[in-house]
Amino acid sequence: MHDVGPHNVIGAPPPEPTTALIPVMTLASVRKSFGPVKALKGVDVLIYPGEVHAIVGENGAGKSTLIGIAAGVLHADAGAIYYGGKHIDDSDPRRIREDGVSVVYQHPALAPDLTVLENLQLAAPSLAGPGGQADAERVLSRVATEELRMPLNKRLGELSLAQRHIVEIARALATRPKVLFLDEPTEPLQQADVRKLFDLIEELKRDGVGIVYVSHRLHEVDELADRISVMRDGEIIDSRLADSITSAEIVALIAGRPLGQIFPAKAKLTGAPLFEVSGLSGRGFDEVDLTVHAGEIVGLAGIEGEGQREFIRAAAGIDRRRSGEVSVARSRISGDSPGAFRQAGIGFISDDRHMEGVFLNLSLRENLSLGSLQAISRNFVIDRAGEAARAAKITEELRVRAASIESKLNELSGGNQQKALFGREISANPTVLLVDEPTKGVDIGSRSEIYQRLRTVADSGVAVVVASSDGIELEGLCDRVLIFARGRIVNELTGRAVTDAAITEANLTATVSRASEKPAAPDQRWRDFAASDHFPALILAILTVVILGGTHALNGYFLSAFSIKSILTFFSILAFLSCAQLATVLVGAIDLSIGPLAGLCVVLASFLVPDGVAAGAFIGGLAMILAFTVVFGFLQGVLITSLRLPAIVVTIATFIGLQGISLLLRPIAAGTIDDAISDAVQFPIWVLPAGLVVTLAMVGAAEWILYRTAFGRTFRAVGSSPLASHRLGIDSRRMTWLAFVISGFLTGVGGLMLAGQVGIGSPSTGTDYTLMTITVVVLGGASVAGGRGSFFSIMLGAALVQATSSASSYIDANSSVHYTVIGTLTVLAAIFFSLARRRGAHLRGEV
Amino acid sequence: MTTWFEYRTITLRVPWPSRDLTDLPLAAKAFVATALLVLIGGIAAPSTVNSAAILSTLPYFAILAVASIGQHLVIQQRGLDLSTAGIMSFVAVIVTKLPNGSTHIDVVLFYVIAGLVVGTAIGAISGLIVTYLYVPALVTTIGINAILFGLTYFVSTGASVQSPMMMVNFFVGRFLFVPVTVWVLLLVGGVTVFVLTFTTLGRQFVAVSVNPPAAHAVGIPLRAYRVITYAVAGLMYAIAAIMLSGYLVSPTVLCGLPYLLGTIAAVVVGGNPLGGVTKGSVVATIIGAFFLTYLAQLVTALGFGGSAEDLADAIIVLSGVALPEITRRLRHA
Repeated sequence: MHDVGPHNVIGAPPPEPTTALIPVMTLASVRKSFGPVKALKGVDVLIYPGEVHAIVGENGAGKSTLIGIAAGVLHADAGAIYYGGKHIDDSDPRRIREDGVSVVYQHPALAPDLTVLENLQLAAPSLAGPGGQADAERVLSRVATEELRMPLNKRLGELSLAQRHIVEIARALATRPKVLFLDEPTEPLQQADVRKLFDLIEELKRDGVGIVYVSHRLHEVDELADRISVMRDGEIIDSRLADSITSAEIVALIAGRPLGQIFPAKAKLTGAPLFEVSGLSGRGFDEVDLTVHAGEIVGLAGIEGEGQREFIRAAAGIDRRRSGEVSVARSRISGDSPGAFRQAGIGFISDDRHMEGVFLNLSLRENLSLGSLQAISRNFVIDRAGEAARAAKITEELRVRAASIESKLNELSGGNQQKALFGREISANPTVLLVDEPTKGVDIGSRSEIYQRLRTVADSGVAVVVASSDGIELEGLCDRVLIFARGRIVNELTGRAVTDAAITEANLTATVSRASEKPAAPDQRWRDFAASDHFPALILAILTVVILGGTHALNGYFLSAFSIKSILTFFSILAFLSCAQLATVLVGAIDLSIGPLAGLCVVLASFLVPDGVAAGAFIGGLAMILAFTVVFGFLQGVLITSLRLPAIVVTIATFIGLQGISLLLRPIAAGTIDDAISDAVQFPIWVLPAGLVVTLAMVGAAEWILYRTAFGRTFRAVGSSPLASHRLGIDSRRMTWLAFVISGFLTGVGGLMLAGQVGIGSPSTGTDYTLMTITVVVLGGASVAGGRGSFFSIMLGAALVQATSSASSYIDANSSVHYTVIGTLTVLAAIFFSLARRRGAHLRGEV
Repeated sequence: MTTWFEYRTITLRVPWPSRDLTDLPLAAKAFVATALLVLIGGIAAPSTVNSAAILSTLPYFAILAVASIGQHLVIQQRGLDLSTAGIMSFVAVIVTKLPNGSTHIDVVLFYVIAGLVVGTAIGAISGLIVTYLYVPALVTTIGINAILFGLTYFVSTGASVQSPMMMVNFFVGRFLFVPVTVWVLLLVGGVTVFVLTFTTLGRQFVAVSVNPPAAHAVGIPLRAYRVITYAVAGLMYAIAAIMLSGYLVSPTVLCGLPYLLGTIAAVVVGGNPLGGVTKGSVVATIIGAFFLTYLAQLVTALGFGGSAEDLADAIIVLSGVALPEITRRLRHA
């Protein structure tokens, strides 16, 4: 093997080869299909303890699917997994992880709203115990270099990409795995970090951990691997010990693929420069210059993530550029929108056909028209006959096979969808055509047609740029190929030098270090604070005091002993109902039925605990009402999780339905409710009313459960990242369903307090609480998208809303101030949190 | 008009795509469901299908249908508008309270136009907040709704006022035997359907709703379409509110309240998907509005109060979203 670095151990025998005879994990003839696509066609992998087994292959070879199956995230269609001599038949990611199999995902399986420590604890519950924090520090220090170290209490969403990756690796190590899968682990890392990771892998090897290392980067594989398997098209085509295979052989195996693809003749001569890009920079690429002439097809090559895809997208105006200029036929494009680029004559075909290319639910006719609506309309009115004729003509020319031009695109095969997409772009008569992966997911027959078509377009004087990960395609199609590495063009192949082998060679040997990430701006601190959970609590507390004090200054009766009592009771009610709302919001749902459900409690109380009821019946009545709200929450949860209905629609329906039930039971307010409820709520414990003490206790308990227990972490993880939760084996449906049960219970308690305060079976009380709880949740800084929120902040939000509400009733008789203030608070707080948190995200280079 | 007929012949030549009932166009399905309801209702309570009953139902249907078109557009654009009640109540106050009983056509007309402008502007504000400040539609519209309730109470000082007689006479009246409100619906619905089906604007609107990233890639200005959607929805609610004020003579302060769920229910009953994805049908939503209006009348005719109507609405919406999911599961099981 060439390129023997100082840390290379290949060549020397592995440290303890004698113990490595029995595989610790075996994947046997694993098959997996996604619809018609066969991702794995019977794959065998043997993982030995203390050995690094590298799996190499191009994109789409099936590596990630293989990892998914080994981790229990995907179900194999056929085949078996043996671990430690036992057959693993259940695919429960949590069980498999606890047994000792860990995966470092290419896209980290972490919850952005949880802290670093909490994310580690989510995977390794042992870190939650005493000494867990020190253990977590120890794991992190094994993985992270000094530059990438982060405090354990930092929220994951606030970390850089490289730091997140470090946490991902630490998470996988935290469970002390016996088998460790690493999927492209060095992607966002710098040289020093990679070094550290490699030392760690050596260390793990010595400890007898079986390691599966998946990478594009041959020099890394060179350095680490004891055994190398090459994957292609869902199969492992060769698997050998590292010392019995050379880099050149690996390159040949990766690229090798049945030839015989018919490519059109290349350009005879090319015209004037049509497409000029100078100094274009953006996310993932820097200072790229490119000139493409009329009649020329230029290819962009590079390993995934080297910037070629980001570059072609920015050159098409799809993603924003940071700086640089793009000109078509010598005129510079001034706008920033994709529309401006299109107007200038640039056509674009995305690599993600379903997401960004075609409109699957629209007809072939509509799809073909969307690129050139001006051509088929006059004064905005579409000429339907002309449109149909045009669509029929394009369909015939590009030989798109469809039942009719009215067929929906999702009824067409992948190849025909792609031809339709080409038809749409070509028929718009572009000057420049930018194509990202022209034949991804396209059958052999359609491929040839697409190549011919691209050449015809170029011959007609269009400048064509093709980004592709398929070397053969680039060799056969392009007049010139540019190699991207780390965001820059590092090599150019022209004429006869454009060969698959040369491209693969250039790709795999390119080693340019990536421009390092910019450090965070120093004036970040106030923003960090504004985006933290403590900030809303502080502001809310201050505002509450200001409003209470201000109103009292205007009206001396406001804070009388009697009204304080009533304000505190209403505060307790609102706090309970808002905490109910937070429970559903945390898991990414919402419950609009909270208000009317509380109202129904009042109505039910007027029947079940009427004035003067006996003590036994009183307790029984309260219990029945609570049981009812819990069962109602349960049913709502079942409807939402088992049928996967949107929570908002279900609860908006129950919002109305519950009001109907209340009105049916009590068409007009009637039925006095026993005083015992309000007496109990007002009962002084030391100087505080019992209702307030219960509220404080509930908030304290809820906050403790949410932030200090495994259940609470899981609860937040579900709302924060459904994907990460799934990979960690968390049952998100069960959590959602539980959230509604909790919501029902808390609403029941709040509703009973409300019943005590109202004192009569009035059918319409409570309804307003739905809006108020949402206001409180937004004010408390909870994320409506889920995963983030604090019961303590919510309680202070309830205090502010109740203070405002009580104050406004002293200021004006009708509800105008009350509604206006609450509405304004909701909108302003939502805007504030949206901007504070989004800007933070923007500065970290996400969005 | 040759274009139209040519188009018709082309679509008619297309082989019938449906393999079973579930593949029928949305509007056809909604129509079948509504016809069944009217048939059952006609048998159970014959009084609900005589011409007088139908004529008295039609204005309510037209008002709900116009407001539902607004909700339909927002839902098709992957949003949800919970400010329907607020905008309608506020506009109703503008056209009833502010003219102060004036009998001058220019004064009344001024406030009607003001109402339309205000409704559109409020919608546009929601759209701007949702699109440019990244606040979820739910939170934005629920907050805007509360502010409008406050403004409504403030302007009305809490008491309902009689609409200008001119407006009452206009909206209670009929033209060619058909209530004026229905003519307004035909005009508004017709324009909406025409724009969505026959113009480039409609095509782009549909493209944005079906696949936003792909629409972005073909250069359609997503954000502009989203803001305009909320603005047009606001306009629809304003038109509905003006008709409601005229027809009710003296609307209650929060007269828009039933339209919060009502409009969403009409969209759901019409069989439209929530959150874009497939095309959706405005005609189906209009039929959905008729379904709900007739159902309310039927419930009343059968001797149940308004509370039963709420309950029926809730059940209809729940089954409207649950049934397609259940049948889909049964078919795949």
